[in-house]
Amino acid sequence: MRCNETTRKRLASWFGQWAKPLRQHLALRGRLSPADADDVAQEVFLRLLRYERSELVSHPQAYLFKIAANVLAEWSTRARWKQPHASEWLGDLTDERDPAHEFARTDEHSTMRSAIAGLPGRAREILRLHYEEGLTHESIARQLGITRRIVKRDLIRAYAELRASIGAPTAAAASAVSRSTA
Amino acid sequence: MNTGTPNAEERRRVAAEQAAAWLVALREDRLSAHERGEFVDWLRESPVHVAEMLRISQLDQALAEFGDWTALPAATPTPDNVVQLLPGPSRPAARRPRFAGLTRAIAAGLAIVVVAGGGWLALREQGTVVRTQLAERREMILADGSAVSIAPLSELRIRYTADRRSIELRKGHAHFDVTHDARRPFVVDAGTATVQAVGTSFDVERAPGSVRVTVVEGRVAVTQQEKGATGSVPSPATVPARVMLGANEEIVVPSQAPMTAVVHQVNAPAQAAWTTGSLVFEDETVAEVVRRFNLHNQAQIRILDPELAARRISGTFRASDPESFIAFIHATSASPAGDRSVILVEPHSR
Repeated sequence: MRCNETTRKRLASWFGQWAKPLRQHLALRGRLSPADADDVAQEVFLRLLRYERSELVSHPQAYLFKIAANVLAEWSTRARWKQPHASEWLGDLTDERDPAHEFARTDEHSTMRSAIAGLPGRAREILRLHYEEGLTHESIARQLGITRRIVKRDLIRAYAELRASIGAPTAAAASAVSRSTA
Repeated sequence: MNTGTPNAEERRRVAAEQAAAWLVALREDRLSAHERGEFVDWLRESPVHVAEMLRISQLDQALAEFGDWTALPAATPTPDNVVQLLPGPSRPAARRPRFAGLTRAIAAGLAIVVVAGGGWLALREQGTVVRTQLAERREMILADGSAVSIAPLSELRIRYTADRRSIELRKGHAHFDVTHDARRPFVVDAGTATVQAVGTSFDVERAPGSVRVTVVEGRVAVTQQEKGATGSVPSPATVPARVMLGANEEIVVPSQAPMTAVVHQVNAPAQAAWTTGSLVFEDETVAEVVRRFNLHNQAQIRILDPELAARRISGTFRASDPESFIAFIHATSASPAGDRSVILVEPHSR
């Protein structure tokens, strides 16, 4: 059994709305430090409060990502005004093939790989079946001979553990620094 | 430099876990309007929630783009804490057996029980006995894939036969995630009550005067045991032979009185949150909250003010962080005496 493709696609497209300005912002600033990310979240939070609840309830994720995208886009614009010369290379940097971007990706990738490798065996296998093979909780449970609830719980724990060990993927470097100074 | 940060960090950790749970729900399920409403309310509760939701979404995206699964060292689907239920002679195993002892035991042809964490357990012909100490929570995966989470200060006996999966909850509190096997019912005997499940998730707590059963998922049948009802022999007219419980339903079976068919509606996932290290309280007395914290920690909270003990509170805490609860009490106490009304006693000073 495959995962609900439409749900996945919709989630991905909503996320994509936010991912693009995020990538541009990262290209400009090198990275989104945890403090910056919190500032963005603070602003998103305030804007969420201004909406009617009933409106948000229709598509909460779409609103969340759209608002986050707007906040970031505004930030980037402001940053461009502050650093006029930066706008010249902004366009180039949004290109996926940019070496700096590639470097960030490789760096991110190895952080990601070691974080995943550090998970307990079962959790890692569940993640792989879910993301690589696109299996539902139900199918994973059947394949591993465990209950759906355990699959769900392992996934939640795996996310929380990955979050703790790498911060946010794009803030990996920043969180590594803050960890070593803590 | 660290003043105040543990609480902020703790809040962030809890928020990250909640965000992870939302991500799992968003990826897999079609959320109802009610659930979407809960998601919105949660997001609008705190900027930390928004931050963690955005971060976990980034992680989700990174996982979707991660193409290197095969390059990882081979993952064994068998977890570390699997209990192999092997037949063997009656022999108590030493706490944290040393490697030499293990080797000798293997050489002697004795059955080996593999279990993670502290505590000790005895392997007997009639099953495996597991005991947990104060502040010790343990999770075990049984031979059939069912999982049992054991709260501190609990004792249970696990015995699997060809036609029955039997668990005897001798004392304390445990949570069961049962794999489906219609031919082999899963039965928890908690003295006063027995709980039978086929494939489900439920919580059983054995207290001195009663047994509480809460169902998170699926259905179970609860039966009151005659042997538990000493003294008053319940008349057949008032005793329901069996009560069926569904998701988010709870029943309390008293040991000294006939069970009534009164089933409460509860937030079962919150009741079972202890299995992941959280304590969730909804309109609970401070005395009860403290009892729970003390079970999960060596450091013991003492409440010096009876008025405070009777106060009702709601909240989510890390079971391993009694300081956060004390800070919560101080923050919500209006009286200046609040500072001295609750103290934390470290184990060495007891």
